Amino acid sequence: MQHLASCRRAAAIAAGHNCSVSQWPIRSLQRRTLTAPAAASWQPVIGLEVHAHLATNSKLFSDAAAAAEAAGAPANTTVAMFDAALPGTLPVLNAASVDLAIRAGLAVQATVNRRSSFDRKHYFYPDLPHGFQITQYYAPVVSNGHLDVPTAAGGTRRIRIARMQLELDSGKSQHYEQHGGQTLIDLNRAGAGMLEIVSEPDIRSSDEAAAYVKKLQHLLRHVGVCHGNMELGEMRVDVNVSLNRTDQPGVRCEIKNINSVRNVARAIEHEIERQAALLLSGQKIFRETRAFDAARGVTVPMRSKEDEVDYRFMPEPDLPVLIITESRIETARGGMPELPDVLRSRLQSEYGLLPADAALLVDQHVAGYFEQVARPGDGKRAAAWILNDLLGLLNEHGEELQGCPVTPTRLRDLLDLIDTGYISNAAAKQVLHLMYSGNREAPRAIVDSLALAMNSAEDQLASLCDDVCAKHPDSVRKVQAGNLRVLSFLVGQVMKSCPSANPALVTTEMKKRLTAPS
Amino acid sequence: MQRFQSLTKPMRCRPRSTRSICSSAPNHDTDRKILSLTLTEARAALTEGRVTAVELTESSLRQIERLGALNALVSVRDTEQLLDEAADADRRRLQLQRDGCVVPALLGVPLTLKDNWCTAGLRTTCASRMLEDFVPNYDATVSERLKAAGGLLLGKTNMDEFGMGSSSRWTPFGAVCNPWSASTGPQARTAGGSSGGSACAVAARMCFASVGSDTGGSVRQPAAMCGVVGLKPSYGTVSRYGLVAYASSLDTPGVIARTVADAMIVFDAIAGHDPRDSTSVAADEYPPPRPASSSASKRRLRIGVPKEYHVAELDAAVLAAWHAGAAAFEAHGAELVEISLPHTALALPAYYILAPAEAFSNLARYDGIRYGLRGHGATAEAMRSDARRRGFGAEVQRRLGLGSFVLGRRAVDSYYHKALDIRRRVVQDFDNAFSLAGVDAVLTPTTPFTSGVLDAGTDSTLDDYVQDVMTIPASLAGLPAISIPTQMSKSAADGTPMPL
Repeated sequence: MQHLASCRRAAAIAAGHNCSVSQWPIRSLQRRTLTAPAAASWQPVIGLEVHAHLATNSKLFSDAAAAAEAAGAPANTTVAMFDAALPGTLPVLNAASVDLAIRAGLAVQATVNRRSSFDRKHYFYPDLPHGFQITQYYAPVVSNGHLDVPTAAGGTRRIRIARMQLELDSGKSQHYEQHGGQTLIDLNRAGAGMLEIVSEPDIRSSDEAAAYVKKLQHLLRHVGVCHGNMELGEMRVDVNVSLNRTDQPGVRCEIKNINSVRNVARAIEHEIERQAALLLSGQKIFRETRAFDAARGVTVPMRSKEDEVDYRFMPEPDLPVLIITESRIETARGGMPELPDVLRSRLQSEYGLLPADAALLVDQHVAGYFEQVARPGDGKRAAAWILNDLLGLLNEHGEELQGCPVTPTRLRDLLDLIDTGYISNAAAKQVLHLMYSGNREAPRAIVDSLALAMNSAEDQLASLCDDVCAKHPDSVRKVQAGNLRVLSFLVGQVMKSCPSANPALVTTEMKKRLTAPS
Repeated sequence: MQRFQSLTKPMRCRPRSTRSICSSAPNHDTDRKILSLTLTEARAALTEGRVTAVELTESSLRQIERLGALNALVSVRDTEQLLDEAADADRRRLQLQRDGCVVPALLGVPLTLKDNWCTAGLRTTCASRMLEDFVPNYDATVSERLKAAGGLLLGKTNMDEFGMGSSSRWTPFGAVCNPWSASTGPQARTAGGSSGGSACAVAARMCFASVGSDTGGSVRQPAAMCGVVGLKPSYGTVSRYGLVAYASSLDTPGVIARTVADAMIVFDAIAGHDPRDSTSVAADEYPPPRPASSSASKRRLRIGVPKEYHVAELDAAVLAAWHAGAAAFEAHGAELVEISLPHTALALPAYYILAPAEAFSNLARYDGIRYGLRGHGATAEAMRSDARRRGFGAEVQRRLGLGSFVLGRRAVDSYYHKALDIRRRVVQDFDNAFSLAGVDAVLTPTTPFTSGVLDAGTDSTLDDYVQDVMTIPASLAGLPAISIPTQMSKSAADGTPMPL
């Protein structure tokens, strides 16, 4: 979960508001200076390949559990015979994976291809048990979509999505220097289904690239295609960067396996600098594959694309052509949640929310929860409580909304108590904390058992005010002198000592006392 | 049709103690009588109580021992275990018959499986050093279904390594000898391949049927060489799950047996949709079972004789047999029609591009890391290279090289994609023959020449490849095909079978 302040900035951008570049996280001045002259003559041309793990229970072609890493499974425990490429085993397509691919395609207004097929991409590495990856080279399942991202100039740029293809992930290798340099192979991830999302090279800056990845990540989460936790390896990005000039087309370098949005931006920035520096000094840029060293913030060579691996693509003979019917697409369309843009506007109009709040609700994937709490036309209080208090609690404890004891119904009951004046805001906050910590009683019952019902008894309030005034003579003097801001402080003190006090009446009472003509 | 010794009178058998095989002396006469039964006849004898599964098993095991020099089998299961299973089968049969229940189709019948079928707990080598010690932890669908039908698995048969070959000599376990050979050793005749061990075992009566695999002719051709029936059903009718893959789009499980009726019994037991094989034909696309006896149908059977099969390599004796066979069909009321399959000549080279390409792909997994022969080396690449160099024989390495080449970036269009195109045309040829010319079946020799001497002394690799010219088109098209023995050749010193 991100810091709420940056959430609001992000929401503002997503909602299309002007957001000056200086509000983005700090970049080193040194970098800015280097890119400035380069930018004058060379145009960065960037394309992204995003690998997203499909949120299915089992893998793409076997019935082993899919999300091994997220579940913290020990090495080599979620490996089916097919995943280990045992002789005689065969792939069987996971239908749910196809449905997710269809959803992803629909979410970016792409064409879901009625006919697509699988191919084998051969290369040898210990963590690729078959000696080939099953992918979709010739005929992917989805083509021609797009995603609009904000540009630095304040507009939006349409980034075209060339294709989305279903493919397998490989296992993982861990290299150890000790024990004579052993490499250990973990096949938990081998055979996990991924959707590779390939963009056209329409992106023009590192900021746009970061925005694209974030938007895609959010979208895939929103439609339930991918959980998108990059730190868990559920999504990773390969970047292709070149610097073009009208008279001189650029040479493309690929940076592989970037595992965070921030690193996407950093990698691109460094790569642009590197290429600019080479070009400025009149040197050639070689097509190559590079890796991003996150610690040093630089891209480093991995292998040369000149002597590129020959993947020997061959149609996958063990799988028939994938035929997707019209009705299957319609079923997927029907089962999809509203797309974020549509949802944002609807929340604004239906619940009377500010654009920023609507955006944040969608951003934080709590819109569904919100709609169960709020009433049409009256969503402001619900939005505020969810975004500030509930998310605040979840953030503090590092927990997810899923499984939270504060169910939408209970939250609504609590908010109703505020609306009817039964309790004050302050008291409600206390009740919320109790509910979150596991108190399963109905909100009203909690209020009653703790005598938090708003106390409007004038004489009691009067004595409370007297107590507080007695404790804070300086503040009293300030208010009497005309500083009304300190009045809220005093009211706050009363509320603190007695949360069930009716804040409105307390305020009136205090005012009566302190601003009485002396 | 080769005539087998038939039973002159019913045998009287009582269930004997299962341990008696060790004590009683092998009775050649009894064995000959029992082993001369076809699978169909053996089943009838079991049903009528004239013979027991234990006796069938004992005789088969003795035969295997007697004819060890033929190198038909790679692994033979434990005798005690087998006799226990046979006794169980006998008991079960009595029980079911008493209860009036259906008896599984192969209950108590001794069978073998080619050694590229995964059998749980039983070594599966594919006749390769790479998998010499590989023991699968699961059963192939075919293995499961044979078990479910009550079949007794005697052991795994020898073959060409990973199914690549037409002679069953590309094996570390000794080349399979044709049981019709006058001798074993260098002058022995080849049993054909790659299911040579299966064909030999059936022909030499070590078992009542065997299930092999046919990629370019690997069931039909050895069956032909050994004078038995070899059935390659339509691609997709029998599950490939558990068949160690050679060329996935061509590999077809096949049955080798002594008669067509025998072959159909085994086929019926193993065929049918399998959700674990995505290329398996769906249940509702499966043709309905054919009538038990093919009595004269209302209209005449139209049989096509393709003129392009008169290849240069065609042996004169084989040609004569072809004509004789055609005449025999005509005499039985069939209509013979000359047809044209114009792309026949291109089928062979296309096959030898497509199959090695898929082999390259399917064998890429053998790096010795998870199973199989483990290589030595300082790096993963070195380990892998070492394992493959030592684990794969010469023929496999040849085909892997070929496959790697035809899929290479520079060659893929001129070779692999062209071969795919030829394959489409071959399919079209057959489509035309069946729909336009209206034939029901196509009659050709199974091989252009009869079984050659194993150790011919010449570089016979290409000759081996040419052997497949008759069988390959049906493989490319995925069509069902059957090889039926017709007569013995008269020209060779030792007569060898010439099948169609």
